[in-house]
Amino acid sequence: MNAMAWIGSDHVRHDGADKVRGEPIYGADRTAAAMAYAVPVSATVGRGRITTLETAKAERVRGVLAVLTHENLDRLHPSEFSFGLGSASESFQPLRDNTVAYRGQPIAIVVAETLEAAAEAAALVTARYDVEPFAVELDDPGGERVDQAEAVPAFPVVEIGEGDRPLDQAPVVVDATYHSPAQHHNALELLSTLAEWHEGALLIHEGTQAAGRVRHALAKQFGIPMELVQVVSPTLGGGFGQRTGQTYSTTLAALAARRVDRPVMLIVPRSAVFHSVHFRAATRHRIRLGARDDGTITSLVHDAFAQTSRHDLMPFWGPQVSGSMYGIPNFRGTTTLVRLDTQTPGYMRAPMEMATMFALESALDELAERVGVDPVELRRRHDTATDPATGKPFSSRRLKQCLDRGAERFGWSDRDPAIGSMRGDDGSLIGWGVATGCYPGLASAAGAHVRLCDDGTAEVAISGHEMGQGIRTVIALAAADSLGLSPNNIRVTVGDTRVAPQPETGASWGTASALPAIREAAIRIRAHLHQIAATHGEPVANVDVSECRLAEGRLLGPDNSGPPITGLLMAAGVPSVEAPGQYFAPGRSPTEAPDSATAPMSAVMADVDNARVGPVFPDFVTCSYVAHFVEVRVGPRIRRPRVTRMLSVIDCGRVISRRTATSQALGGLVWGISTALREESTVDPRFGGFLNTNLCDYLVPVNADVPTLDVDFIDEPDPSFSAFGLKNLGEVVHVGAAAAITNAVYHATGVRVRRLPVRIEDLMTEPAR
Amino acid sequence: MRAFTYTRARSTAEAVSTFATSPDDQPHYLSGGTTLVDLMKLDVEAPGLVIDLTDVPDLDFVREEQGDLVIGALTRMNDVANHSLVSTNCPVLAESLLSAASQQLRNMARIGGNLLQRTRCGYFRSVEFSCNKRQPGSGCSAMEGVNRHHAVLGTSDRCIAVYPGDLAVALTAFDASLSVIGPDGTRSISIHDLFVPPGDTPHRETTLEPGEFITAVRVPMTPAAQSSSYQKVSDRSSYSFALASAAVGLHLDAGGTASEIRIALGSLGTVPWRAREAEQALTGTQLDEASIRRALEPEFRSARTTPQNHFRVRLAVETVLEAVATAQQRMG
Ligand SMILES: Cc1cc2nc3c(=O)[nH]c(=O)nc-3n(C[C@H](O)[C@H](O)[C@H](O)COP(=O)(O)OP(=O)(O)OC[C@H]3O[C@@H](n4cnc5c(N)ncnc54)[C@H](O)[C@@H]3O)c2cc1C
Ligand code: SF4
Repeated sequence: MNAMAWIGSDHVRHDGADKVRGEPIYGADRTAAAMAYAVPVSATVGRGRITTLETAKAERVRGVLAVLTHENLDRLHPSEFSFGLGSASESFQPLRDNTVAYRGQPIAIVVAETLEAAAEAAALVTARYDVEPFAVELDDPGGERVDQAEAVPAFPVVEIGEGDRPLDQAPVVVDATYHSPAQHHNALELLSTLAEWHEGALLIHEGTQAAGRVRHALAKQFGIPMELVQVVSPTLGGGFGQRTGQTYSTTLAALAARRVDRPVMLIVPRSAVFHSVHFRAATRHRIRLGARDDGTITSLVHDAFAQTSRHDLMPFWGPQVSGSMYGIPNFRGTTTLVRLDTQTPGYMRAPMEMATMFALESALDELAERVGVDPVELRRRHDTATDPATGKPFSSRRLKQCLDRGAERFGWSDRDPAIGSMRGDDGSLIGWGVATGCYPGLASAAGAHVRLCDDGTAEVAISGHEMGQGIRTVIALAAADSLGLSPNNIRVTVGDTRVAPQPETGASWGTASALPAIREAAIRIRAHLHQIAATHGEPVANVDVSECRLAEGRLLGPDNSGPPITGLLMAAGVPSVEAPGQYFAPGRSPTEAPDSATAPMSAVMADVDNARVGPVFPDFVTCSYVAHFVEVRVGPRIRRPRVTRMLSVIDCGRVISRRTATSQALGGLVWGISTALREESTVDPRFGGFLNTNLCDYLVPVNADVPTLDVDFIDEPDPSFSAFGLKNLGEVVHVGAAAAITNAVYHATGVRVRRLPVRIEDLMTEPAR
Repeated sequence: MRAFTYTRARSTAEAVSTFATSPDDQPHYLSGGTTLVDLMKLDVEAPGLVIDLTDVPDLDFVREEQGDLVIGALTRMNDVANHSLVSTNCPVLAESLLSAASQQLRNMARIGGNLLQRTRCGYFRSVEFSCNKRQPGSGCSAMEGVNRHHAVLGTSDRCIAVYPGDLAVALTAFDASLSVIGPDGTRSISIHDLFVPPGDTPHRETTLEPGEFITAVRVPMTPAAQSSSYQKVSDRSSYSFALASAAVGLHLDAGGTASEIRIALGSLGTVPWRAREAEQALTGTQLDEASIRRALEPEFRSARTTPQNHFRVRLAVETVLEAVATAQQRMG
């Protein structure tokens, strides 16, 4: 309807100044009058049953109000795992009975006047257990193996062309197995919940990516109407999939608040965060590539193993990703899930794609070397315009452009392919690596309520959660264009179930889902104003409303003239006009009941707001793409790998907000460095649970580990996927980044690290060649 | 964290007498709190009385006394590292301090507390696991567990926890001594006598007597101090403990032979590790890579490694070579 003046600009972050001033309220920043604190007590065995629980000492600590245990907790309706059409991050609900499903789960909650008293008392709760056998490693024989295709029919074996049969005839075969470790989200903001009951109604403040889902789950668990539950999440200090489901800490906070009849703040300690919510499953991938001598890949076979929990089946759809990445005619992909004794793993940035593309892109690098083809060229040659899995064309695929532009900017043509041939002035080994990534185009549902006021400002209350990715900024830019205002004059409310439905914001679909809802509301507002204009005989009313636009504070016709909006509002005697807008991903209308458990992703869509994730387009498939170029240096003596240069070129369709898109991209690359060289959740199979549950032992990069990063966008629209020309961005940037780094490490040292993360010791042995 | 009594001492005498007269059987001195408070939060330490030393006057200084560098025990890590006497006369000290922890921690932590920081063994730091150091006789969870960061030198059947600090390694290379004060008055201890390998009593880490605390650190400024170097290798570039570190001091005579060479290894032993055999072999020789490698071999004869940590032996050798190279450059 309007020209895009703000969309695509590099306008400042909408809440940037507020953030610099420390204004935003994160989960645990909120306080309430007479607030009490809850601290969980964690199980100290890998699995079993509690036989005795000693709480007397804890109860005697001054200030303790209650110690909640399975012996005295109110009964709730069961929670349902979000992949089984529920809303919870896992079906297991601790404290329902004496079950210990995994080390680290809560076995009691201490509520006290102060955080200190609660923590002191929590340390005094002791338990005895009957321990049962448990397993926490992918290869542990105690882990139960489940054929995913059989157990979760929504994710069948993927067969393309002749499947794995042509592999036997291939003159060149790369057959290698790649490992990715469990990883845990470690946002600085801990999981925290403030729960308040007022006359039977529950109000929750917490940092979540899915306030609607939390609301839905709590209403079900407490058996109260959904109208009595509200969830507010204005900002969260890191989402990345960790907070896409209802977690039991929220439920326990609500129970505690009801028990002590006061608002209760529950902050999950860092070590317990490792044991209470989504994390990235450990995975293993056997990749077999069959190729001709010239490098033409004729078949790809991908057998994936992924960790899940004893109580839930969290699917892993890596082969659904690898099968559609390149123009490879024959493909077979299987997944085996391994039930282990931890909480249910779940989403973490690029949840399926990261590990999958680490494996595939490493294997491609191995093939490139075997057949003597440049790794960029090998990828270019296997570009495809159609999705091999469905035979449908891609709505847009600018992977080749990403590769070409990246190679050009990086100076790839100067790369000497010989291993260990490039040296720095200090004698360090230099390696250059490339890898690509993809992420499907997804969208969810969104509802908006827009109010245009007579003081030249507007209010937008809308679905979406601000976790630093910049959704407030894109909403403000889109509203600015649709309403003809400056983004600075737009107030945005997100993450609040009191003002808009709040399905999950995840999987990079926030912008794709929110923008159309804003536009629909704006079109209605324009119609309102047009009607007012007609009532008052304004000439612009003679022009069809569809030819009018809101700009410069006026309702303008095609001749760029028209009355000021404030005048129209005054004439109508109203201070503002307002209108709702909504969006459902194509093929996913609100009338469609969330019943098709067999449809891929269906459970993610099941939400209070009937938000169905899509879209499903009959004629095409959409993906975003990225190409990463990395320089790594490894000391001549101390073979510690360092990333010294990183450039990524991204095809995410049209860039809506350059400022926040760039920032998202940089974050994805920093995380790529982290995945390649730092992060790993360690386990001790004798004890269960996770071991390095603190920020000292769970390594993430420091600033000194991150060189200047360079990102570039192709920035060409994909009008088929979205009227705004956009595709998804957040996740794709992380995909392939780790492989580009390990490929560069190989080029520098001749050591092929197939198990993430790369450690010094991997490179301290002389290469096998 | 358990409830405890907190008091501030205004003088060394008051600190000592408060300690001595406390009914609590394990009062603790506190300086920056970055080790102690951390461990109290984890319930690993649970003192009934905490005596804050940071108001004790005259223990915050860096000065030269008769050719020695003397540092007050309550001087902040950053203040020592950035002091010109230290950075110009003894780079190994400045570098060991600056390679440690983070800017924020170094602004809090004091030299005395730094030396007495405790091991980072994850099983020690988490009360749910058995640990001979924390609970004598309960067993060592690390030996068959995750022990990539654990010691390869000076271990015992009871404990393989590494001494993780950086500064103490530099002090060990330069034969520093400590002034301590306690119920029985003042005395001086060589840094070599401060730390005790675990043996059968891993809970006993130092030779300080109950109620004693460190008041100053004295470092002899030998010729090798000028051209000294601290090299630290860890998984990330800062804010992490070493996988291996080396403090090296070097003095070459006009002909290029080493008249003085000092080598100490960090994060390899249960205590900071002086490589005396290597030093002896190299003193009076022309240094080259092969001779240094050869000289270091005997140091690791007693090493007991695990599949996870054996790489650190080789890493240590490379780290020493790096440190020697830097020290040589500093000789000019
Ligand atoms: C995240 C993190 C990373 C770190 N990284 C490193 C690193 O890379 N390298 C490194 O070397 N260190 C590192 N440290 C450890 C840090 O250097 C020590 O915690 C700090 O130096 C201790 O000094 P403090 O003054 O805070 O001691 P405190 O915590 O106050 O005291 C430590 C101990 O010494 C005792 N004590 C204090 N003062 C005296 C005294 N004058 N005489 C006798 N006893 C005393 C206390 O009773 C206590 O037992 C790290 C710490 C953290 C938390
Ligand atoms: S190595 Fe020492 S500190 Fe660690 S668990 Fe064993 S006894 Fe305890």
